Amino acid sequence: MKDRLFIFGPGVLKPYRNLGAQWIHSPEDALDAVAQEPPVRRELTLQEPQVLYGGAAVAPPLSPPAPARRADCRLLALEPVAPPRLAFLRHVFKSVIADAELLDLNELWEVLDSPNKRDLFVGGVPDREDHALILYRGDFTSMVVPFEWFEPRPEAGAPDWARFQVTDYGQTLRMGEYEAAADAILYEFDPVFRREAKTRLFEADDSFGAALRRLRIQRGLRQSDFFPISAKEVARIERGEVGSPRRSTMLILGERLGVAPEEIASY
Amino acid sequence: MPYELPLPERVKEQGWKVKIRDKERLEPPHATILRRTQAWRWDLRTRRFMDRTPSPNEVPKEALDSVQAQHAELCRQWDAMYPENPVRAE
Repeated sequence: MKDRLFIFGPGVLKPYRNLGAQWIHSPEDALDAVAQEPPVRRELTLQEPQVLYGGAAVAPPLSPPAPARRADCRLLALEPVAPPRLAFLRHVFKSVIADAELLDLNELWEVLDSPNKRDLFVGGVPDREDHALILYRGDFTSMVVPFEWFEPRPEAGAPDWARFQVTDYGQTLRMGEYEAAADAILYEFDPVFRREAKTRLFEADDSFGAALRRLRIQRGLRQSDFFPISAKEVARIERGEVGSPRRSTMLILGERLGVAPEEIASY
Repeated sequence: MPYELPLPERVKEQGWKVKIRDKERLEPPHATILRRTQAWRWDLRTRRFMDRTPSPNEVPKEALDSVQAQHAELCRQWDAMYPENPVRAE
């Protein structure tokens, strides 16, 4: 079943009309829309029908939605949502993005309309208590990235989480003076993206040694950082001079690189 | 602080940007050409596009000329941001 997207926002926004949206003003309307068959769309390039949900302060209705309907509807809140209403919306919709720092609205609708929306971020929430960034992708899936992954850089310093923004049509995260590439995050934390990214390369060195080298460099490690494996041995593995590293070697490599040994080759 | 390559005004107005950000995939060193929801990675070692898709043909000549003309500056910026993996590491 195709997913449907609902947007909770401050009035009918012109760009969203292009998404073939239906505007809704209350929780009752939201329930009705969830219960409806997807609206017939005209001249749309979208994969999925879209519905907008306008936020009027109306009490949730008494009748709960049919559980089967919940499975195919998602909601993006453009305005802050009070906790009681959020609980209600989470009951109604399969997934809810609420209280997130979102892309500029003009960029947001274009991302939602993009064929590669899964590879773009629409918003995020820095969770300072847990030192993690929750990120939402254009297909509404989420991912969690530890703050520590964003190492301070000489000129940019450390990320300023109070100034978190998603920009460049979901391709860049900005934290004050610090910017992170969306593709770097996806490559690190999404094995599917990593696999697809490798198929897009003009010149892909798919050898284990090349993957080890890429991952080692990404981690900021030297060939001498894998004791008790010698730097010379690591160099030989990276050059492809070792047919298939022993299990004990793989375990050490994986442990130092922070990945499961069998994942090294995917980088 | 990210580095953004200066581009001709006309190219900028079309939404093109060329950036090296503070957190990138490190290998190989590259600059990213961005326009709206799409991105093209430019390998600073080989001076070629890294990815088949999106098609490199979509990048206008004027933007690519700027990247080529300012190659040395892009390399300098990359090396300053990522001294642990400089462009001339091979």
